[in-house]
Amino acid sequence: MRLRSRFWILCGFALAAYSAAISREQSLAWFLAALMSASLLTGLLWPRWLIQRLSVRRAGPQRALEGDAVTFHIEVHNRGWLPRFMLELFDQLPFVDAAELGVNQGDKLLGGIASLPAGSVRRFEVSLLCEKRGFYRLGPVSLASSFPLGLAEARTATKHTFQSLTIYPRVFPIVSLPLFGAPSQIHRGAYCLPEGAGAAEFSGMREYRRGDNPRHVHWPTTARLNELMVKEFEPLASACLYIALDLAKDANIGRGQHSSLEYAIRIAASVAGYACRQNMHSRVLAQGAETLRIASGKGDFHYQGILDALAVADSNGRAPYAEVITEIALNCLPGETVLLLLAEPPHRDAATLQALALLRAQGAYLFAVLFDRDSFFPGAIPSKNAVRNSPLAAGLLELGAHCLTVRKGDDLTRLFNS
Amino acid sequence: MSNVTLFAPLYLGLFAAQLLAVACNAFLDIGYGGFEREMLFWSFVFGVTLYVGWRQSRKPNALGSAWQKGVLFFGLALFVLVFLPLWGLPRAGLYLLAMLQASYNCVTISGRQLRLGLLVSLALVLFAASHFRADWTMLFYLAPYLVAAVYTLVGEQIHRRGNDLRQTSLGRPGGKGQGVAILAATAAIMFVGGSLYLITPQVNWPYLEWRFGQQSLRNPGGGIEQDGGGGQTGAGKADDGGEAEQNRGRGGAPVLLGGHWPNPREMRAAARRPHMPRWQAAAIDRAADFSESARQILQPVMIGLFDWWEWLKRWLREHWFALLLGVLASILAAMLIALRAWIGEIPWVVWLLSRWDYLNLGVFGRHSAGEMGARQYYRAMERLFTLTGLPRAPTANTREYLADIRRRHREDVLRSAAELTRLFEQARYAAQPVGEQSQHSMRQLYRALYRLQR
Repeated sequence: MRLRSRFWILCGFALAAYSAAISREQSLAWFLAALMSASLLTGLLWPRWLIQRLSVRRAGPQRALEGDAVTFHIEVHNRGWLPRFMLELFDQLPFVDAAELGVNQGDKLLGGIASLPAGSVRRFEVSLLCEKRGFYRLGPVSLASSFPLGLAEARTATKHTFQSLTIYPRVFPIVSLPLFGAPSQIHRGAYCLPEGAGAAEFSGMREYRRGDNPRHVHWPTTARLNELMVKEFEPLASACLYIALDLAKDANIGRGQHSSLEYAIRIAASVAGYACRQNMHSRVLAQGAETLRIASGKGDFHYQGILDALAVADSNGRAPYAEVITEIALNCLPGETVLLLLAEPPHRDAATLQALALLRAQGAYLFAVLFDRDSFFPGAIPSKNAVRNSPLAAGLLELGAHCLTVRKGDDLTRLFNS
Repeated sequence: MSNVTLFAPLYLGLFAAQLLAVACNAFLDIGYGGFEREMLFWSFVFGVTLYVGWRQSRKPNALGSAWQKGVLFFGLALFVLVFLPLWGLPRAGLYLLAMLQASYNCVTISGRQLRLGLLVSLALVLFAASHFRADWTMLFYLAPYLVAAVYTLVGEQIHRRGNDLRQTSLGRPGGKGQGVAILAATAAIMFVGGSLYLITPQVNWPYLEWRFGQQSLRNPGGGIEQDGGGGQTGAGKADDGGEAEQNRGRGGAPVLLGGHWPNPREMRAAARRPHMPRWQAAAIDRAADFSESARQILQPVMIGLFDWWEWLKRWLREHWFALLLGVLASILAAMLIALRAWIGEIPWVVWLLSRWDYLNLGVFGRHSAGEMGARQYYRAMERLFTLTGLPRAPTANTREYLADIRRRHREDVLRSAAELTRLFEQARYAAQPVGEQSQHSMRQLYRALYRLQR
């Protein structure tokens, strides 16, 4: 129960009215004083009673995409035998206004119900925009009332109205990426044949050699020639993708949705989605406060796992990007394409280039996305050639990397499909 | 808090309040026969000016200000040419105040202006009610005025809050039922206010000084106040005093000035006053009939109640000491119960009790026989879970408490708790008596829970 200042003001008026009534032998003064006392009593006791014997239910999706609108269905049931008036429903919705304010735990007003007859149910919908990716805990829904005069507010939190909501990063369509294949993968024993149409194509037969995948033995020909014969394939799209995300704190510039991290995560999610659609293997590595490591895999379930991880990724790490690249270099397969999201401060360029050289030496292809840091600072006027002229960009070109430059406000769809 | 547009019912409430406030004043001069004409005039003035105000609240323009000035000049002219010669001060000043309010009505578009309008109407009513000619017959205008004022105040508050909610809320549950809410709030405040008024002893300083302070006259100043025209000064003072006597003589008991409620004879006399509106006279006659019949019906009941009251007073005088002891014992018992409940919530007391439970029930097995033993084991289990931050809510039954345990504890703890709960329910609600085997099982389960929880 929270008393408002007008309660004390009315208390003062009531005391003055009683004082006047006792001084003047007048019934009207007594009645006015009684009316003020009645207002105080009803203002104090009624709200507390109004929020009792009510049940609230909130139903809504548990997953959504950034930028989508989600609809929550609210149901309020009056289990009492008298009507309820001027009920206010509040909810803890940390994702509302998260783009501007960040994750906020303040109560949001879902709506007010002017009158709820006894035993009745009131249903309504609340449509909200999922502004920022993340994992959010919603609830509890609170019921409040300051009926009738707003002198005091009674509030209670309802049970069983907790819920979680995962908002996945917004992805943009990618038609094609300049990825390189990994021809050495196809005949390894651990690999099955590519499943997707066009992933590999039959090119001929030859005699079996030590180390060939026994699954590729063509038994009818073997029986006919009395010699082990294996099928040969022409690899067409057996590219593998390694997404290296930089979660160092100083690599994230800007605020809200227009920070470099948000762009990086959007790109990572979109590229992972592209890999999933193309039936490619993909994996993710990042060093935040905790290491984000998603093993190689493909398919929708794998993509879901990547989205789950990217939804909660935050720039809370301290490890320089060079460490991440070095670890990838030690584990990557020859021919694997590594997606680099480079937004770290310039003083680390030398170490990063060294790690990239190691990565290249392991036979990995580099697909670098360079963030124009200056453009992400609030109010900054970016120079178009600042990134192109940087030593990092020059080094990447020397290493044969495919480079893209991203600035704040860029249309990523156009950038990746041009 | 937003500056919201007032809605039409609030203007109606303000109109009713202002008109009834002026009616209270006009009623004082009902003997002169101009009551209906006055009411017609004020209805027109307040109706037109509030209509202009309502139009302004929807679409403000310069017309409201022009109307305000026009009504103001008209009011000043009336004051000089009509009110002053007719009534003199302070009544003429009061009607000037009413005209000023009427001019202000033309630009009344916000809650603050609406409340100011109500305040002015209250000033008019207070003036009328404190007049020496004000008696119980004025209640026909005073009571509706209070209802209208409360309705308008409550309506403005609820409408404003509803508007704020609509503007700031994420959803749109619908604002249906606001009218019902306003009526319910008005009725509740009037009912509680009326009840408080009825039970409040209406004492005054002279009475308190006489009763509890120094010896003084029983009602010093009261007579002066009434006979002197309610403290008013002005042209009509000398004549008014004489008329007050006349009023009292013909049954007009000044109930608004602390008088008694009239009897049926006095009511009928009031209904026959000259120029009393016909509907009011008929209503007073009906009230007198009702009062008579109610008195006939209630007389035996009242006599019975009076006898009972006398008997109660006599009994209290005879047994006052025993009663005092009884009250003290009740207070002590209540305090002991509260203390027990309070101690039961202190963590270290719960810890000690749980150890005692284990020693008494778990180690020595000194439980009561039958259902009481099952209760002891179940209560001991509750204490164990209270220690882990899971006390049983006063409203939770055994199943709900078990559901809470399920959310918080491991499978092995849950299994023991579920079995102990089942045995407790069996002992508590089953037809057959609790066997030794069941109590033994409960003891084993309790011991297991104690070890798991430790």
